[in-house]
Amino acid sequence: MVIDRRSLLAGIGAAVGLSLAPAVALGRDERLYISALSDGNEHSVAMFSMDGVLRFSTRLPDRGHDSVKRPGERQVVVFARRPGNWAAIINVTSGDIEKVILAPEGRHFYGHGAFSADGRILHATENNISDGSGVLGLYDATHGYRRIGEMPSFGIGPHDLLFRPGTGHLVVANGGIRTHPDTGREMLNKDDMEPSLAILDAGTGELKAKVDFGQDMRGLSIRHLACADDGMTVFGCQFEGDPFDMPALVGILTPDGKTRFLDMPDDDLAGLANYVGSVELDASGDIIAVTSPRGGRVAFWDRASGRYLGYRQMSDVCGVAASGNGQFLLTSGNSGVRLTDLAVRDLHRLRTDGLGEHVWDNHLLPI
Amino acid sequence: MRFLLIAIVVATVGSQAYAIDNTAFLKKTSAEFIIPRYDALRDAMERQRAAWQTSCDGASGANRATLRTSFKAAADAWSSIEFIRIGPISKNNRHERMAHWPERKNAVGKALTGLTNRDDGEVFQPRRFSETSVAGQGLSALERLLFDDGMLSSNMPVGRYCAIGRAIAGSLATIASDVAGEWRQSPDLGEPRETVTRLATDLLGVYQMVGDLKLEAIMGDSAERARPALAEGWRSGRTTHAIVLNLRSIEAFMQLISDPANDNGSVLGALATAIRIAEGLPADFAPLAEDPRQRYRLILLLDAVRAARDLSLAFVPQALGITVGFNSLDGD
Repeated sequence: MVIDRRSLLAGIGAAVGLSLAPAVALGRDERLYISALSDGNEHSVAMFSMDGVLRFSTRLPDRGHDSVKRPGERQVVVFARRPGNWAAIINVTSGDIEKVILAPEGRHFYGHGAFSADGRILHATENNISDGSGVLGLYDATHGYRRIGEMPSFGIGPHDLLFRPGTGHLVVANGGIRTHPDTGREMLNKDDMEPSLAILDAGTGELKAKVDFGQDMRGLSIRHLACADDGMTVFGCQFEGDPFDMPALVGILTPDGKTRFLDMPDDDLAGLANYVGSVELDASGDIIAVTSPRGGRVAFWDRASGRYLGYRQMSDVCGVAASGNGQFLLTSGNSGVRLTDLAVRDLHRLRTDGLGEHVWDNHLLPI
Repeated sequence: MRFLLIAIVVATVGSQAYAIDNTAFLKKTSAEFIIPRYDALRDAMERQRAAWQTSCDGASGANRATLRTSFKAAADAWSSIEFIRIGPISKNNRHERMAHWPERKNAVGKALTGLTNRDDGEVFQPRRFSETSVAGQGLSALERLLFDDGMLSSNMPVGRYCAIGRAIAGSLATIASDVAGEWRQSPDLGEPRETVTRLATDLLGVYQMVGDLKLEAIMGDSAERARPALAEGWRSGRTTHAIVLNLRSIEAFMQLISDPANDNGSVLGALATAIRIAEGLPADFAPLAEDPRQRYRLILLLDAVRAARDLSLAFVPQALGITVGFNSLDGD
């Protein structure tokens, strides 16, 4: 939803950080996670600890999507769900909104961003509304998140993006879907999508490489990414083509630019309902987890071998974050927060589980 | 646009929700809706299993009509409880093993070919059979055995044909019996509010299954792009009846949560309209999608299903005092 400045100010007025529980207690699991949530028509961003205690819940002007942590600072940026035009800068100590930035006239956010390693420049995926081309908006966090420019994403509908560790290179998932705020989230180019993975030099904006999958895979919107320390990038897709087709949805982009899709049994691929909501690697970087809210499943692969490891069921599951080796924390709009351990068949609740009262919305970020 | 509308409707009504006694609601739903339908499914599947045991005499045998009749009754019973995904049906891929539609990558055909060409009969032992492709274990595969022209003229040996059919019918009967039995033993469904939310998600999801897949995907963008041979149950001529039964199951569930004194009949009214339109269609609606003069009847049905869906998206969370998850409805 596009919010004008007057409405935004009203929203911020209600968006006061609300610290619900102090972060002190011996024996608690202090690992922290952040996600957007919605309760009825109230939308918030909340931080909770691994033991299931809500640390703060802060009102947002509208639904949030993904969050990104600023390196070296106690700040997280929460992006509006597309086609929103705001992003909230949250102080993760107090939960307060320190600032809300607006996309400039003629642009809106796509819901994801990535910081440079020094925490100075925020790169946000945006739509150039006039021609539908994708851009990365550049915001200087050291100067109040002032917009200092933009660069092309070299595709339509950029969604997730991330830095390859140790490089100045950005990987951008250009979903290939053109939308316009006047028609909300309606696809304007269903028969002519152009999904791609673009690798950019963040310093110069130069396109270093671009991967697309050709005409036969045009309906496969590449949307979410996760990257291992060695630079291998996992990508997850949503298939917008013929519902009677069933392409692979998860693939790997190697540092030298080669891609391959990960195999899984057709029976289990059908269970993903042609839709992946998030991808993530475990703490070791060895295990890939992929959620499908429409299938109500999270599926796993061994990254090195590409071997499929199986799945677990969780209604409406979408958010996923590493919580250990072979362990992931999962969030859902229906089933709260659960922990999955590959070594154990069942999903676990957290120790204090009041989190299931909330409708967790899309992505989960470890702090 | 469709997903945006869903998001707005759900978000708007959420704050008006009121709390219900989730445990009591689940008990009532189990007793009045779920258990009777699973009992009916168990009985229909058992009759089908018995028919295959006693009457199978090959692909072109004289008893084909008997097997077809038992198949249609079993498929009808499944369509009447198909949308439920909570509880015992969610275990061990049971839901996926009951039927395989939409069929992708010719999964049912490939599974049956694999079963046909096996050198040994070991695969038809129940435990081993449950480990084969789910696409070959359910009603979709059985329909292919009983109604597919290629299958009926394939000269498959009677012994192999009946072994496949008996394995499928036996598996279906076992699953249906286990599910019905487990429901009667008050299975652990998890935290009640969460279970009610998942149940609501199942209910709202069937609208998308019927509207987006069973209708729109078959209709295509135009008569020229229609694909009647992909419709659910086209071989057995029950494409329309499957939709009618899906809609009737929603209607029966809605009657559990509607308050006639509080004018909540708008959802029931919209559902009645959709059912009436569907019941006016021929037994196999799919060919209408290719007929420019008749196609409008399917468009009317699609519109009616979506109208009922939009009303339900507003009504169900409010009536149950919940907010359903956004991730599976609108995503990103």
